[in-house]
Amino acid sequence: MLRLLSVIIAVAIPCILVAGEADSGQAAQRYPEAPAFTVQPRNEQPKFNDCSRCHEEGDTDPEPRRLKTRHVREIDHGGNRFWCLTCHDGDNIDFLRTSSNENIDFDQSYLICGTCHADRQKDWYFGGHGKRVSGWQDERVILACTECHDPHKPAVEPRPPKPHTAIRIGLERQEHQPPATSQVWNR
Amino acid sequence: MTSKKDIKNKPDAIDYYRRAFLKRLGITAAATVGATSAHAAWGGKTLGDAFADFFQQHYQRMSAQELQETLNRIERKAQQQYGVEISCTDTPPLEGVVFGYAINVSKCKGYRDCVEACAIENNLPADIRYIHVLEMNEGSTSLELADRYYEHEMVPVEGKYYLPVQCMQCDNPPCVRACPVEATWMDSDGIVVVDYDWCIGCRYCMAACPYAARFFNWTRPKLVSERINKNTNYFGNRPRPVGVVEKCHFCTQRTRMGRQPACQEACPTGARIFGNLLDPNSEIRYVLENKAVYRLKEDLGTEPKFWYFSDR
Repeated sequence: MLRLLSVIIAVAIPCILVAGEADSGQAAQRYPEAPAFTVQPRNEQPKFNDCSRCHEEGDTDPEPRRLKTRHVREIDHGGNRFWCLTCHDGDNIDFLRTSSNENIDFDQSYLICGTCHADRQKDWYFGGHGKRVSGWQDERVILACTECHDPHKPAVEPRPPKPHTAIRIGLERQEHQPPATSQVWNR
Repeated sequence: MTSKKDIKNKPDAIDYYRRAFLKRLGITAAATVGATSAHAAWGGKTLGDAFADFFQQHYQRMSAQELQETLNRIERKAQQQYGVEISCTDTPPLEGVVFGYAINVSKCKGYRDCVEACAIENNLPADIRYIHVLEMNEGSTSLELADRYYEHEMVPVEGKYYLPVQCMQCDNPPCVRACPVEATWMDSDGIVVVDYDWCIGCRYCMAACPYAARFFNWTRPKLVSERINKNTNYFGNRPRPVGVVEKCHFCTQRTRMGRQPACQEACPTGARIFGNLLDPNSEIRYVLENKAVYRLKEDLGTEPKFWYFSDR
């Protein structure tokens, strides 16, 4: 039994190391059987590539603390249990790092989201969550999680609605009168 | 349906002579009345167009040439009535495609972006909207308690959820059976289409539809010329005449060209999932196979191709 375990570890460690050292900004997909897709690129947006303008390699202080400079102040996500370097790669600040120590770029942020939100991630891979921006027949281009959910504050904010249907000319809107019964089918 | 298409290709001598006669009659009449009287006498049309409109055949009985003439006439009419140069095409349904729609109710926040995008895309007058977003009480599926005219500062509101309804493109459509003149039918891609030029405006289909998804043009649609969508389709968003019924057609002018419907494109939350039901790799198939989906008024047996599901 012990021998088997050591074999497994011996096989697993180089795999992790290779994944960690790759630094290609790409990591393996979780669901290779999912229909092929590309994520609408976010890397080109300067907002996501700006970290290294201040941060040089390896000068990130890993100590959790309140940041004063141009950073996100509050992380309203996961009940305050996160710190920047939970997701961002401290050694290579323009990249993200998964919990399995893979170095990925901002286009693959969904790999990190799936660490906790595994069900959502599976839906997203197969098209049950997220949004397809290409035609139904074309190559599948979908939005990354972070396109709609700010990772530092993922809840979607309320917003005013667009105007309602015009009521036909000559008619008036009737005030809605809910029936006074408490029958099951009326609830 | 195939039998009607066969008729289209058969040369029918009597029909041909009748048509040729009417055409000549139209031309002579137009010549005698004179081109100068074109403005008001025939509703802004030339006498030839007025004649051709009157004798226009059912879509399925039109030959390719007649259809092309009809499309050209529709373009001319839009030019006369609204002063815009539209392009009207006829896109036949694609092979091996049946469209389906699914809405994630837990993601719909009631913003009504789809309603607005639909109105712009489909040249809708102010009193017609194909999509209605119903504000529902949480924990309830009662459509009687739903409010389609909600007005709030911010949505979503606590204790409510939002249920967009539109034409369900039923697989067993009661509206089609109600139509006395066969002006509406289900195409092979599952879209229930309306031949606006064959519709007599009896509104039986509106009474038959259990989803209140069909709407009547009481007046000639009041459209703002600058805002008319010029990419139009015979069954889709071309400017409708007065006195006909219309409804959501899954944006035939877009979806039959491989694009997404306007409502899917406009939805900011990604609650809308559109696709081909016959493609096992499509997103809609994943939803149908893996989510607890339901349809509205399933017990009526209309078999809508429009599903709802929630994340929980």
